[in-house]
Amino acid sequence: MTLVFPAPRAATAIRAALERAFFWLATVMFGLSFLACVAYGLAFPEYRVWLSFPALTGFWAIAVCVSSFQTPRWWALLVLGLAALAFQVLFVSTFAGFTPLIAFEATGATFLISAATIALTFTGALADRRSSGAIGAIVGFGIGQGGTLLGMIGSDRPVSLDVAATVVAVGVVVALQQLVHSNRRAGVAGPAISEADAIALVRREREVLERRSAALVHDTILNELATLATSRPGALPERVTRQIALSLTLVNDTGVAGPADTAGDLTGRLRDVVARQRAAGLQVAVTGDLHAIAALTPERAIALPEAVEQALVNVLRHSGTDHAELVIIAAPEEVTVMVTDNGRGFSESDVGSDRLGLRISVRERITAVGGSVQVWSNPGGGTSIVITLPGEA
Amino acid sequence: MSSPRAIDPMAVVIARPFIVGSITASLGYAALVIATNLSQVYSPQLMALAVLALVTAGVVLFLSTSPFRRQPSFGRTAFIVGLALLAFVLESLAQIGSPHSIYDNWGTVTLALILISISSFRSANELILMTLGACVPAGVLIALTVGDDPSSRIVAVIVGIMPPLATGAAAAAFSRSMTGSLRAWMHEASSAQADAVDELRSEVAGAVREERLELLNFEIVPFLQGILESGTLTAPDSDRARDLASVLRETMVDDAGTNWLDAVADRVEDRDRLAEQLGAEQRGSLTAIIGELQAAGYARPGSIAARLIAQDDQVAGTITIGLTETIGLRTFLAPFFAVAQATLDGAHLELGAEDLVIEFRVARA
Repeated sequence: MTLVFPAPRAATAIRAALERAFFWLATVMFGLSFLACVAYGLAFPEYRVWLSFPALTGFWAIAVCVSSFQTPRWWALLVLGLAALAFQVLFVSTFAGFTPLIAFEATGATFLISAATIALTFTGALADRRSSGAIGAIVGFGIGQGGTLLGMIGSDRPVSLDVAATVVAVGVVVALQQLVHSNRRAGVAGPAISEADAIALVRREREVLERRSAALVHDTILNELATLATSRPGALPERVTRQIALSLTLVNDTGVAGPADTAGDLTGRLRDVVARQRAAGLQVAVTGDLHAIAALTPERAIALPEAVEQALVNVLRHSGTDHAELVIIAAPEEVTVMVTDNGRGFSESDVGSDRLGLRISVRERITAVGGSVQVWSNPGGGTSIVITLPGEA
Repeated sequence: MSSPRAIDPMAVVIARPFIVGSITASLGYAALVIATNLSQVYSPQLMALAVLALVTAGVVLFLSTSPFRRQPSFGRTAFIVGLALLAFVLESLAQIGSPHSIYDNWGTVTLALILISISSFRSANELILMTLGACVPAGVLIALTVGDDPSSRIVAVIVGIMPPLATGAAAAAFSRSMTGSLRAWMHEASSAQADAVDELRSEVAGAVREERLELLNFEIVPFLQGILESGTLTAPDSDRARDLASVLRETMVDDAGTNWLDAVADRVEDRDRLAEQLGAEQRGSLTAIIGELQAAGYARPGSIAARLIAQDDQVAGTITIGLTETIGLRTFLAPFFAVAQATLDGAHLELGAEDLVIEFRVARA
């Protein structure tokens, strides 16, 4: 459900990111222009290039002001716009008024003036919080171009439209409009993806809980019905009536993920399973620490003993032996439990689809909580069921 | 180190037109400058190679940033920037021997456009690294090839590297800001989602329990309670228990035999029930693609086939969707497949004249 950045929030985030981008773009351009002017001024002190320093500093100060505004007032923008115009006039007239025409063209003054107009275009886009930034970019470009024309007045420089700055301004306006359109397009797809994702999440949760529920029904009610179906008519043994009563209580009262599931002493559950199966007639040899499930999350610590119990039940019912070995290997990153018997074994592919014990009560129960089950068996060669669960990480 | 694209698959959809525009502008600008300064080209062969390098950079950038591909690696993006730098180097070498100035070069401007184009695909630090990696050699080359005196060389270097350095800084700032916003949102969304999932789990758990009781309470529980109360088992009781066990087992087998993929596809081949190993987000992205294709009328009714097989420790999936038409389908699919790319690492899409094939692999549980 966290796949798609919601469109309205994406629009705000993109806008904020663009503001940072525009600010740094303008800052680097003003900064490098400043350095270029310093180098130019040191080489040609007679051209009074130092007059451009306050203009470039002023540009950058305006960019800082504009980037720090939350929602700038119109009068503040007007003041800053006029200041930017004045700085551009000063910047351009520095070169137009004091630099000889040959030096003006050779040393890149034209480029620096274009760079200032381009940086003002981005500063304008940065200041515009009401539209996509396109209007601000146009105004910024207008200030840069207007300042250039005013700065050239009275000089012998040819006055023309700044092609490079114009191309950049058009590109910026188109790109900003395109971003709005693209975000809108992504926004159309977003809800559909989020909805499908939410449905998938519900289905996934339901599937996990249905598996648990099915495993519970299998281990209790289906088990009791099978016992009754194969019992001889007559008075029921107390063990059977007690087991039926317990199963009815479990299916009636147990939720599939409620607090009751996680209550009680989880670490003792594996020990109880072994005790129950021994009482049922299976001789279980245990190697390792039965309390190792303390290293598991509560849902895994519940699933593991239940799966182990079904594996032991299967040994007693189907393997033809009454001996089983339970090996517990606990490591910080995972807990592995192996149920082994030397009975008749089986081929998993030959197990009928109606045989649900290994599938529902062992494999699905374990995979539902992020574990894995491997079955090693072949006819006549005994069976090993290896259950691995990740530790509590 | 993360990027906007790595966190939000939609970033590629939003950035796509901008990238196409940047590539077009790069090629257009290069052509314009070459045409207007043709007399400054001393070596047409080198200039042709420079254009070839730029075109290659554009093509690789276009393909690498497709919504139908996974995020380009650092190496791939560095390669693209390297090609743009190579274009500038070749362009500069092509002009050696003729009087020219840095202001007549297109290489640094196209390098700038390439750098800004990859802002959504790499982290801020990587973008800064690539920018400096491009600007330093570019600056050295300018210093060696342009200008007659130290001051004009310095100015030429500063002016020459201004476009890539400025856009590189802008790209890094954009990436850092977007990544920060996305991380903040993900943090909030994760907390909200955890609460929502807990609530959902509780609701679903109640519903599942009710369904279980509905199944059992009709006949089975009353039967077992009757047995408990009487304390004895008769022969008809035994038969009844066998019948009920059989019915219950059949119901459970039927339930266990279906999963989410059956609700999405018309034909499912999944012998090992591998569909269950896909996570909610992976299922969601596939469901969204199929559902939207159906809703938009692109999918031919009854044509959706899914096949999942185990390959080593992975689940290999193939979903085939019959199509009614293909016009505008790639654009329509872009956002949905971008999400699928994020959730199903390495998902691959093949669009034919009559059908659409989605292939993916996920790790087996």
